[in-house]
Amino acid sequence: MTADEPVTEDGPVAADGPVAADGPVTEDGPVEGSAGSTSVRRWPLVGALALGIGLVLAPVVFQMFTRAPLGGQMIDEFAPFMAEDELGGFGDHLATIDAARDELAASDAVGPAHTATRRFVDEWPDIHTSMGGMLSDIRANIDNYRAVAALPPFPLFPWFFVVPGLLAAVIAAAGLRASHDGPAVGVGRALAAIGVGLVLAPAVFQMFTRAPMGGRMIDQFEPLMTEARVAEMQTSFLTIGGAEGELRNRVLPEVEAARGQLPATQAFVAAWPSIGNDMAPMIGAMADNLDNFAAVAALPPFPLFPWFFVIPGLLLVGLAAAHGLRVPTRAASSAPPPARPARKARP
Amino acid sequence: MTRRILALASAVLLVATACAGGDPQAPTDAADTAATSGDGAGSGAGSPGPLVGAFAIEAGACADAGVTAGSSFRMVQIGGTVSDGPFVSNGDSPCGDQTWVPLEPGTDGGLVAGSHQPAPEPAFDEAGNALAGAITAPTTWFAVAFATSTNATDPQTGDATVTPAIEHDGEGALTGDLSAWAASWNGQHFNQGSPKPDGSAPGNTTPVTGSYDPDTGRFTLSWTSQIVGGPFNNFTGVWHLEGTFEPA
Repeated sequence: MTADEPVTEDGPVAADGPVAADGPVTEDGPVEGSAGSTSVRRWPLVGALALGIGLVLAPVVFQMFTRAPLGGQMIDEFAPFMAEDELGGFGDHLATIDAARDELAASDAVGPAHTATRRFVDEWPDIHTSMGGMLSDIRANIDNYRAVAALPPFPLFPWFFVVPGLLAAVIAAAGLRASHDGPAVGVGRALAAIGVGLVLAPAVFQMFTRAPMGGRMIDQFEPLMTEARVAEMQTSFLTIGGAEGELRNRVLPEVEAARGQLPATQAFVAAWPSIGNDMAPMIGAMADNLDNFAAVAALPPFPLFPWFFVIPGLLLVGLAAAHGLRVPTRAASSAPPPARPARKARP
Repeated sequence: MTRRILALASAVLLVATACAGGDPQAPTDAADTAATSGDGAGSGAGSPGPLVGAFAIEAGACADAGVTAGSSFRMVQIGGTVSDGPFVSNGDSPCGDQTWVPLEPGTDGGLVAGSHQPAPEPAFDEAGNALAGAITAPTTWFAVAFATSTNATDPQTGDATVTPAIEHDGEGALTGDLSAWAASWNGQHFNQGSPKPDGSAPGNTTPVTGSYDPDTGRFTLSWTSQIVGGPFNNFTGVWHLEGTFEPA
């Protein structure tokens, strides 16, 4: 003992807890039963055990084992569409269709018998608004998408809780056992290391910036990723495609027979295979990921995710500190095992 | 008139054979029986059990209305019913009612029961036209060719499928498992089987049923299959094949 060591009413206090003046000292503090000793602090270990179990159970409670992989699948399947080039192509398609529609609306080539074309001419403005809005929403979220895609793979997320939680629980349990049977080496430090790892993980993975961006993406995609919206897209596709077939097979031949021309409509018809080729997979990706999106949206809010690591990490560090971080001295570690206090003889 | 007499005679014969213990091979459908000819494709295929061989299809025929004979395909829109539609109108259909799409036989002549007729690799050309052509000839659908195939591994779901199987009950009725049936279009695959590869029958999906005359080999096969996933999610394909069965 040195003059710098704190002293309590019960005697000097080591870094790991109160220590009897002359009793044996282990890494984890004085051992119960030593001459003049006080007990090892068990509550930090109990707290660490509870925290570890909580971390292990959190993914189960939030159904992360099922939802997180679905989120990963969604991220993968959206990838082809979350690019400026691709979205620019869609914008060009909409412009091509729009020009054809305006041309047809101003033309007398479309007669009462051209039902599919008439429907297209009537409905296109609303379709254009809806599809254009959707493209804008998607384009506005490209950076958010990239941020989420740059996070560690979604299927690993539950394990980021389970693994440290399990480690903390096992180490705390070992520490508790040691408090009965003898000293355990490095319990406090090990718990502290796990805690520091949890605190640092969000920083390492840039979760503080990426997770809120993911949250914004989820919020802004919510109106797009509904069955009703997908059904609307499917119906719009049929409206456009139905008109294209009628234009190609009936209207344009009639116009050309009359030596007329509808250049914008011809351009639309010429581009249709490419339009359909781009549009159908996108609608398919939306339809296929409705459940995946719902699973991700049902997870706790993305901006909270970093704190799900930081808070338990800080708690774990605090508990480790309360338990004690001191490295055992050679003398202490070679001290004889503590004797348990003799039981008083029952009268 | 001749058909009526034949039908009546067949009905009498049917009752007589039923009373006498019955011939399990006798078709119950009077119309089918009426169509029986002496040079049918029977060859023992009238016995109850699986029919293994080619169900050679007849091309669908249509004029001002829908398909009136032969094989056809229709697609029910979301929320519709098989009986009342609404059906998707295909601007490339030659029918007056463009919700009907006539099907033409492919290079194998039709559906082969007892083996798969898989999609080729690659399954599409650069424009997204499907290239499978064994069962039905590629058919234009919204400017892009769609094709049919039966695959050991369903190209949409990745699930294993049952080898196409058609069962004759010995009395003129057919049932079957066409979980391997897939349609391909525009770079996309759609399982169109019944049941689905996982054995389910979602939404408007109905079992494969049909009729068969062992004497003539004439058959019909019909089923519906709701699409699960992809751009036509929740739409329903309505399939009808008819033609002549050719035992293997």
